[in-house]
Amino acid sequence: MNDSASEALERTRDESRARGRAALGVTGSTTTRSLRDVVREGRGWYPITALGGLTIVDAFQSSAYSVLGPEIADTFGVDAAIIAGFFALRLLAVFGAALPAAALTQGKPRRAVLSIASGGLWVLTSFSLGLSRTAALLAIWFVVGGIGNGASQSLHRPLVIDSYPPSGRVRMLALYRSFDQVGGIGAPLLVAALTTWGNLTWRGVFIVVGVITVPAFLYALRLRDPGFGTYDEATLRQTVSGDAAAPGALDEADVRLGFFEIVRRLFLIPTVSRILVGWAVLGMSFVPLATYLSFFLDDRWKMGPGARALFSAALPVFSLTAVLLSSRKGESLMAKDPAALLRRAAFGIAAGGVAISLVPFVPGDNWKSPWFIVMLLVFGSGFALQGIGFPSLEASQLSIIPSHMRPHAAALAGIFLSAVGGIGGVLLLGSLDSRFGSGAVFAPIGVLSIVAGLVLRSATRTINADLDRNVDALVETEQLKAMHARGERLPMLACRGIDFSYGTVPVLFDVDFTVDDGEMVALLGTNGAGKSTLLRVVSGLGLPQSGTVRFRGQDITYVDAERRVAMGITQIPGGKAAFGPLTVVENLRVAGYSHGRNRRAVESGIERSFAAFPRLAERRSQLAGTLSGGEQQMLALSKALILEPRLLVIDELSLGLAPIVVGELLEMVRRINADGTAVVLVEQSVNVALSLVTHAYFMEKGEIRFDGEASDLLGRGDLLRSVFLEGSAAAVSAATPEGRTP
Amino acid sequence: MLGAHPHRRRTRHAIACALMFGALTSGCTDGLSFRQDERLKIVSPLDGELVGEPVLVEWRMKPRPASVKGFLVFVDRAPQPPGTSVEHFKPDDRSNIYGSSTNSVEIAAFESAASGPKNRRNRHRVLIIPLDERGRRIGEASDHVEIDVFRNEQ
Repeated sequence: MNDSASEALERTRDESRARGRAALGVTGSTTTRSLRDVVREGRGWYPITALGGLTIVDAFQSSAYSVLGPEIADTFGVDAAIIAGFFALRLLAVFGAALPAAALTQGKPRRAVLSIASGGLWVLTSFSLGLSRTAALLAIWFVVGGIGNGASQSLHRPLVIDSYPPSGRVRMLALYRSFDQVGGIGAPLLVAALTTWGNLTWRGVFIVVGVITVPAFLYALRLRDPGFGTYDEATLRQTVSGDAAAPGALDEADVRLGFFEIVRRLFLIPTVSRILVGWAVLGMSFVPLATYLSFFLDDRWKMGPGARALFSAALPVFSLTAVLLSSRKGESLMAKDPAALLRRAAFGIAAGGVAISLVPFVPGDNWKSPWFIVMLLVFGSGFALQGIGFPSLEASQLSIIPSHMRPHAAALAGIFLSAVGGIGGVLLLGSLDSRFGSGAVFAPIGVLSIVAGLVLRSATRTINADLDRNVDALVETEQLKAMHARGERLPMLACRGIDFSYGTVPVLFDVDFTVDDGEMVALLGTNGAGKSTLLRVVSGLGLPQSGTVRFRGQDITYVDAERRVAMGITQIPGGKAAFGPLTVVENLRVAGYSHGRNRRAVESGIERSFAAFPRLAERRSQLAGTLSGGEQQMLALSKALILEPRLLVIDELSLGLAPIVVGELLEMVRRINADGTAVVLVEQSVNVALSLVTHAYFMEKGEIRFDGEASDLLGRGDLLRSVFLEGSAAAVSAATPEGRTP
Repeated sequence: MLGAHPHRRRTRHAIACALMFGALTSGCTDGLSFRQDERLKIVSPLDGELVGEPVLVEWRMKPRPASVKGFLVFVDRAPQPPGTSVEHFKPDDRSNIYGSSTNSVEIAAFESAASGPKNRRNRHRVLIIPLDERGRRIGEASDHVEIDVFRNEQ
């Protein structure tokens, strides 16, 4: 990139970041807009009520499943274990459907139509369950219902977020959760009423639930997907005002992340990964609690099924009240500082868990005892505190990631909470219940909630940086478009602010690296400076913790390595770049075919290689492992050329080779570059590198120390000395922790 | 030609699907129980009652259809599916099943659960189903109670 463009980027970055944060709802102020204004600016009350209605009927279905299991087993004459197996199948379907549902929305915002479809599945499932004649049919409908449930887990919340401006995000998510709580209150009451007073069997209950689901489904039919990031990312784009696609730039569709790339990217966001761990730990206590609560109420407080249903219905009243009362405060915290919102969520979840763990210590042994009210209040306060935490957590997690990845993040949250945490919790708490009774399962809930709170609290250290990274990536994309619209030239490759670690060992620190179209650039530095690691980041073999890699104007930071080859980035790795047990020709064919080149193109590429390196032609049938070092490098270069790259990245071409061979190889590199291919040359030999290039970078201990004319680098003895005196430099490096400059 | 508004079209499709589903499933309800069969009711012991061994389980069936020729009582196990007899179970898997042509049966002893919390190991589920003259289960009707059994050695 030219200097003026770089300076323009730097100059406006902070200003744009602040505007970007504001566009995403983080204004830095505690002032909040009225909910009515938020709804009016958004899509009105319809989306939230339609999704809320679906959530309520989902709760009815789930409640019917869990309460009526024994009666279903009696009807079909199957063991309770079989019905438990059906429940497990249903859960698998829930978890199995969540991520595929998210994947279906990747290319196109289909969240509304999929949400409607899941509502339709619930209608179908409810009636079909009620009419099932065999246990096998029942199992099928359990699974179908689970698929609908899984889809709603990943789609509803992202749809809520994109239907309203970010200034009301926490409140709208809280409102959505409130519908869930209403379902939680109404579902056990409905099932109890239908079976106790309505004298319905489980079949009758499912038919009634189906009848109730129909209006909710019909009401949701008008749902429309507002598009990804309509109220946040779109606003941000407008503020940066870039809309022209650069000629010669990659199409956005070419670099759109695939399913696994998105999931991998989400795990690489520190805040997201910490929140997912927090969900899992929370799930260990929260999910099994629902099961053991019934036993506890029965054993300790002598409550029958009806009284237990009432108790189960009373608990969400506490969380519903807390959610509604606290959401405005949550909104102002989000606007001021997302870390503060996350801190509150962590506290609520930890404190709520501690309160719940105190429940067994409340005296009393019968629900008619006055202590029962105390127990209900302690339990309710725990639910209320955790209820405050959930919408805050959801808003935090979903606000720091690109909008089209929110369904995946929501699906992962559900999977970590219910599958990872739930299964772990059943294993842990189930053994306690067997050994010590139902009261014993409450003790670890407090400990687990505190652990979950601490994990979530640790994410307060990363959330602002992650939010900024998201903003920066969006801003940069738009700025590059705007720059190009002004006639400024875009670089072929632009790495910005790259941080990279191997595990916990940081290797690259805020690295900026740019290559222009057709340019040949040398990347120099001492051993262990991070040159090869930077190349891995460019070619996609390594994914950075932060920063962006842009190729031909598009963000390819998290695009798979093989897709980058198809885009035109080819790397010749240092050392062994040929398959030893294959012949020369086989090596070249493998290179061509593995990247989808057709036979004719591969064969003509092989002939070109043999023309360039006659010595390879002589050894075409020889095993690559028996070639000399120079010949192996020729083969490596030929393999790369078959792919006709736009950017060729060469790592340590001359290492260990005789000067005459190096000269031959470099001549070839020069010709490749002259034909229009941009080249990045990593070399330890300064003389070799600087004889070829005009632009050079110098790296030391993971940082770029020099970026400029090759001739200027020759005058920087302070830098080059470290290369020439590498032995002593290595000694100094070894004495310095993590190899960083003291 | 302009089509119907998308919202209306979706609603129509949904209603058409619902009607089709209703048409397909009409007549599928024969033999299915949507309301609890209150004719069959265990009257002793009561649900949740603490009782000592032996336990006399009594029930009533009013009015008793002519087709009902007997009953099977299942303790802590699932009954046979509707339309099948006790032959549904293998001969070596017929423990904890008690037959009666009257309205009661005495269960001398209950097996404690080998695992689980101690206070729930003597909780038992007693379930009754009606049989026809060939010993087959009639429809989906059943009734059950959960009782805590006070064992003599306790």
